[in-house]
Amino acid sequence: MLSRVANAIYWTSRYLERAENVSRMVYVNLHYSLENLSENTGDWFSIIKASGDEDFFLKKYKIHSQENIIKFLITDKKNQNSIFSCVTAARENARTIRDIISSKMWEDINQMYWIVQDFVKKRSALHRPEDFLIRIQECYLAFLGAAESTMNHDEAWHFSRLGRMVERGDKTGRILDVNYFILSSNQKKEESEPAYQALMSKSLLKSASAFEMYRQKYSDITPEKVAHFLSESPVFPRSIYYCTHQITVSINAICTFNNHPSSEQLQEKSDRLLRMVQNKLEKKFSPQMLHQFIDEFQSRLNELDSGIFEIFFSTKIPPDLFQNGSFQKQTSGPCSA
Amino acid sequence: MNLNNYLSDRNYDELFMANGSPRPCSSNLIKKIKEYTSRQLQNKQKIADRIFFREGVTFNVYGDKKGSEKIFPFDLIPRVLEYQEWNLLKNGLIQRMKALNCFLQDIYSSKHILNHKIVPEDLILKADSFRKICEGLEPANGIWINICGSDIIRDQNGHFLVLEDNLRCPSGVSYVIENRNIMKRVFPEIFSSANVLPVEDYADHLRQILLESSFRKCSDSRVVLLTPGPYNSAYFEHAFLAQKMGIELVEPGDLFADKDCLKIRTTSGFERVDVVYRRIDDDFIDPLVFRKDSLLGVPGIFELFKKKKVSLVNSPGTGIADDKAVYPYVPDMIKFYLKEEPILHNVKTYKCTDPRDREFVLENMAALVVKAVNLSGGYGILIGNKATQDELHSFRKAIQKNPREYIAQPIIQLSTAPTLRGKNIEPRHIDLRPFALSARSNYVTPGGLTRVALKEGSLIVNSSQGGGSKDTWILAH
Repeated sequence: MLSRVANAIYWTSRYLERAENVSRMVYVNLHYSLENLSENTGDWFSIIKASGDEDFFLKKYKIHSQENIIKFLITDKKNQNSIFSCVTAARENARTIRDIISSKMWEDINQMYWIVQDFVKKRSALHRPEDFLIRIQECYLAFLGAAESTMNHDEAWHFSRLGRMVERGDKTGRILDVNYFILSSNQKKEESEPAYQALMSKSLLKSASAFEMYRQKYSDITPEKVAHFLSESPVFPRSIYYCTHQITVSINAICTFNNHPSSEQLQEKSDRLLRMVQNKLEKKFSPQMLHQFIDEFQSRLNELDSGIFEIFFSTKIPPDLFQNGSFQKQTSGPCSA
Repeated sequence: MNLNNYLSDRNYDELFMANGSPRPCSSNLIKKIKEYTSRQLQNKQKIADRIFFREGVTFNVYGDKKGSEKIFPFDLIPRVLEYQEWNLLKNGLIQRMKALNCFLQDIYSSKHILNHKIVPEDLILKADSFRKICEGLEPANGIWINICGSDIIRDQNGHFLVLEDNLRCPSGVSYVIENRNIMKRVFPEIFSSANVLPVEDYADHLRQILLESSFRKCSDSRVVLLTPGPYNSAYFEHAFLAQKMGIELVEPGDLFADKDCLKIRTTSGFERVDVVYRRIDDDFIDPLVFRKDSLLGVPGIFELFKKKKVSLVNSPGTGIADDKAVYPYVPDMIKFYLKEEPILHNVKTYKCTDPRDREFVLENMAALVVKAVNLSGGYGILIGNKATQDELHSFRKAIQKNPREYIAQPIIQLSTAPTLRGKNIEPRHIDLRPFALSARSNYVTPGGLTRVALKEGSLIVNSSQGGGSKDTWILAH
């Protein structure tokens, strides 16, 4: 398949997954902020931290109110990781591959785009964005269903899944890293209360869409168990381990489809990533170790992402131009908004 | 819906006769439409518009950055043609396309038609649209124009006339297919017992003629559709056709002209391409031979075409044949090359290069349509009876300065068809763009794109000038 098309389908997937993650995190936070124990905006700020856009936010907004944070995450056109920017970029990419994805997939993306457009036009909408956030998530789930059932599970499909899994693994890592740090540091007195911890842990689980599935495995909720579940569950489709495993599956499938001469390098890279995740997970980890683990996971994931670009998407540009120095910044693809 | 007050003045109406009763081809349809209330029809219209948006059947408006996507307005009431009428039109189009292909083959090689003084030599050889570099080209099957979209109108007497030929990258066929699709979704009951010929197989025929255009005689020729990219106003159509044909949609950056074949960059490395259905104008397709400043093109692609290593469809160089100053000679081409009488006639045309014609045009401009020969999309047109004194004056000066650049035609009251405007059904002027295909065999898609001038009394149907479109029905006999 065309390199440009592979690149566009990979990034369409990543942007959509990113948009859905932001909408879920904002939704869960809104839900819990209705009955929060403390009145500070610490929880809200953790979403910004998790997105890696802390500096940009601080530069742009003087007041760190819930309102500003929500605006930054949903409609801010300057924030390239806002829902607005991600959905717009996903659609721009999808437009260039309308002939590859199925009509149903395109229509779902298109619908999501028009929902965002309508939302941006309504001035008062930001006060209660819940319905909007739910619609974004529903559209995305419809898109995933369409991708599963209406498209050939061929090379293009694997590029799409690869993009989704890279993005998802990265996001779970970020959510876990930021929240686990807050949870386990017990800076304030009320935050060491078990009730508060349980509420926060629940919120963390729900941010990763993991609460119900976690409950099937564990009866009690502790920060350690939550961390274990989100990082090493072999069956939960958003855990770091699960995503990494699917990444290797898709990379192997792509390499089988296209027989690219240098595809072995990439297979090695993804195998190494999987081994690293497996090895680390076998040990019981402390909060510091968790942070180190996620740090390493993300930098290797970025390396892999550059490798994918270098081998499949570009044949001319030297790869070192595209190395992503800081793992905290999120990468972006063609047609970014 | 009350249609008793439907008035079509003195124009030829496609669905109603002069005495106000429906034509035989439309009596069934009219009867059904009357069964609906105006509100029901308006609701259906709304649903149709919504589907166009959801499916992203939109076009980009140039120079409009915000909210730059529009749907091409669609009218719910179909235009209907009897099979016999259609058959005549179809044969006329095939005949015309054959003659135009002979003409191109001739002027880029032995130039018989110029030597016989049927067409003035200067008119051709001095034209910008005559590409000297195309001399000696041998497109596959000797066919220069594989895809032709001529515009057909009907005059007050009900006669079909060819208004112009579009032989470069004619667009609009995706709307023919989508309009039908959406009609079937929102108004299925209206089709019952109508016996409408399907249009959906256009993509199969297009794919077939593209494959037939390959220089490599093998079963696995690779065909791609070359688009300038997603910001082009016809991008939806490019993606639509590529998807329906199951061929790759490529942008210039995906292609690379190697020593002796054209290649695309894939995830497995470079692979060979045999046929390019290009939707980029001649001017921009190869910066090495046409416009040097083109960023859209593929350097070296023309040379490969010349060496028969890759096919370009339509061939570069066809622009001379749809030059409006050459148009008046098409009936002569049919007689000269095919030894046949033209089935379809041209609109009477005054050539501003001819001193007598020119004098007539300058004196009677207020009763004429004046057209710049190399502009399209409804641009560069002066409709004499609607023009201001200033406009008349500036066209007069332009003609005197550059007679080769202008032609003039009488103002023709295009036929009308009933069109839903708000809660009423009113007559609006329409034309028809059928799509004809040619390689080893010929094909014309039943019907074509009926464009409608939505503004009352307007004769300009172009989408850039407030035009819309309708589903076009050819009834099986």
